[in-house]
Amino acid sequence: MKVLIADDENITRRRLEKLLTDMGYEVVSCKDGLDAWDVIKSKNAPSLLILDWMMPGMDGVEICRKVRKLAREPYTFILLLTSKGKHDDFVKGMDAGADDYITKPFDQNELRVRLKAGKRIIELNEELLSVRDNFAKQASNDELTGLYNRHYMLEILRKEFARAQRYKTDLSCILLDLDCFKDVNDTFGHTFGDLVLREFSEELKQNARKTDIPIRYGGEEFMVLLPNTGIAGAQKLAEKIRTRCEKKKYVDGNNSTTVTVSIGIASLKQHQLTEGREIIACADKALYQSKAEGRNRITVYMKKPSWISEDNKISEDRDLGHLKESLSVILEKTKKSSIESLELLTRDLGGKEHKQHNHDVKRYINLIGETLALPPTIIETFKRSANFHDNFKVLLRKTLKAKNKVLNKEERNEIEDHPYMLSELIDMFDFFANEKSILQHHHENYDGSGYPDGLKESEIPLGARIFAMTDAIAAMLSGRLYKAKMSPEEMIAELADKAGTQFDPMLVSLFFDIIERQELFSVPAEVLEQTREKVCKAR
Amino acid sequence: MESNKLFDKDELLKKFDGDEGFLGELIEVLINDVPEQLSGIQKAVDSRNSNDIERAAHKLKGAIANFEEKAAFEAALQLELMGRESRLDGVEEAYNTLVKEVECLVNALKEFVE
Repeated sequence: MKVLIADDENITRRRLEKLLTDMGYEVVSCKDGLDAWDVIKSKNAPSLLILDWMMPGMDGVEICRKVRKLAREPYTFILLLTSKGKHDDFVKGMDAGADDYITKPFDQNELRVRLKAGKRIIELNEELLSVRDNFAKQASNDELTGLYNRHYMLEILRKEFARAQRYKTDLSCILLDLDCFKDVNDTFGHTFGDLVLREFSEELKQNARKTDIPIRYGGEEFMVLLPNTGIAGAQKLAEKIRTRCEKKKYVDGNNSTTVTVSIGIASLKQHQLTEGREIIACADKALYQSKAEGRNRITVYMKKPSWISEDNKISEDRDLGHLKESLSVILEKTKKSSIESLELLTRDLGGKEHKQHNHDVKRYINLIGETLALPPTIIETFKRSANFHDNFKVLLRKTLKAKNKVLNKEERNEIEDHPYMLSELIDMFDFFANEKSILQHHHENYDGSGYPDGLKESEIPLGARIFAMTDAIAAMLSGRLYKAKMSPEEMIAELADKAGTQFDPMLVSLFFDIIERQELFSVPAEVLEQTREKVCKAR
Repeated sequence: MESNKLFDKDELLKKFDGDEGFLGELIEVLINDVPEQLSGIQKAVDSRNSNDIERAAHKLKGAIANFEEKAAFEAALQLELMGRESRLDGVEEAYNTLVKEVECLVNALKEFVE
């Protein structure tokens, strides 16, 4: 056991040193209070202190107070050296936190027994702490794998969730389930099954970062909680684990096998979760999907459109907000695949450097976005911009290079036009800008009596005029809830009637020509002729 | 010899578990430390700094106490108390007494070593 002696008087200190060394203690000795305090604060500091009262720098009583404030484990036993007959001093010393005192000049035998008592207290305390730690470990760790257990996970999750909310950081959850583990047990026996669980756990520990928390969730199900990590970071780790697992061979003397793993991922910010436990439920659903889609894969939890129930039936209750939410999920996928196609195009042109640059930029965006606590969708938009920029740049540079010339003025202009070029290119990815105008104006009437903007004639986009008429034709012929089905003849009469008011007369007569030429409906030629005249008048 | 009365040799040896070599070593330390310690006290006495007188006398008293608790010890204690209570009348005399008693003790201990 280590013991610290602090006394500025050489003879007493030398006596103590010898006595304690003879007793088998490892002695550290100091000539003043400040040095002693430095030793006490250091790592592996002695648990037994013998302090003189009066010392230069810092006196023994002050050290006592500081040690008690520090409250180290295991307990620090302090024996104070006081001068004979100073009763007040010893009361003051004990009050400051000393455990025992001895008056100088000390009797060697008395000091020996007092030290023994101190040592006993420290040893008892150490024993108690070790029992406590063992209990804590048993309560929090899984016996087979040494990972945290499910019970303790709930406590960690509660803490980490609270922390994430307080500091507005993210928290991700990776849920992992060994594929067809029952077969492993059935084929090779439970002992081998346990070996797989242990080695897989080891794999988790090895691959997890320092701050990640691997947990045995139950049976062959595992979890890694990733504080301060978004969905992208979680995906990265999950993929690392999945590929490692795929390659890993579990071997004992007689048996050898591989076991793949299915993974589900969720994160607080991505899914805007408001309760810690929700993250497990989400990751679990994603894991289920990984299993359903053929195992040995990773699924990031995607919120199901709220109007699609668990059994995939569309519910009656749908409002605009819900619809938008679920359609945006579809849109996200479309955006992702657009960028993937673009990346495919530049893969061989850009080279390693391009890829690294793009990767770095996105990483920085991610870090800044997460620090600013921006919504994940906004961060995603920023990252996609970087993708577009870098990939377009690769493509543009390629066309310049191909010319194989020194830059002339024209080319320089072209470079200065770079932002415009990029903007023109990105416009191409704004797939539905034109469709939007048609949807917006398909209720306008040719004479300006429609809505929402009261446009008339050629102010109405051609697409909207065509759509309005064709939609009406199809509706008239098939009938609607509130209107009886019309015959082709009636429909033609109706079109002729509304030409110039609701419909574009030019389009109506064009359609009549089509009916005639294509023999779309069996209508007597004279009926068409009559109506055509009517339309001509309207025009 | 008068100095022999300062301590009982057997008693003293007993304090050190009969380890004559170690006792000798400590006496050497004392002989070595005394001049510096005394000059420290003198400095404090000259400047009439009660705090320093108390501290320096206390330290020397602690060193002496390892060997005896009689004349030299008492002299050091007196000075310590004078310092603590800031009673500086006669402090020079007290210091002179201390020097004399310490000298006696050192001489007796020297004899012991020889």
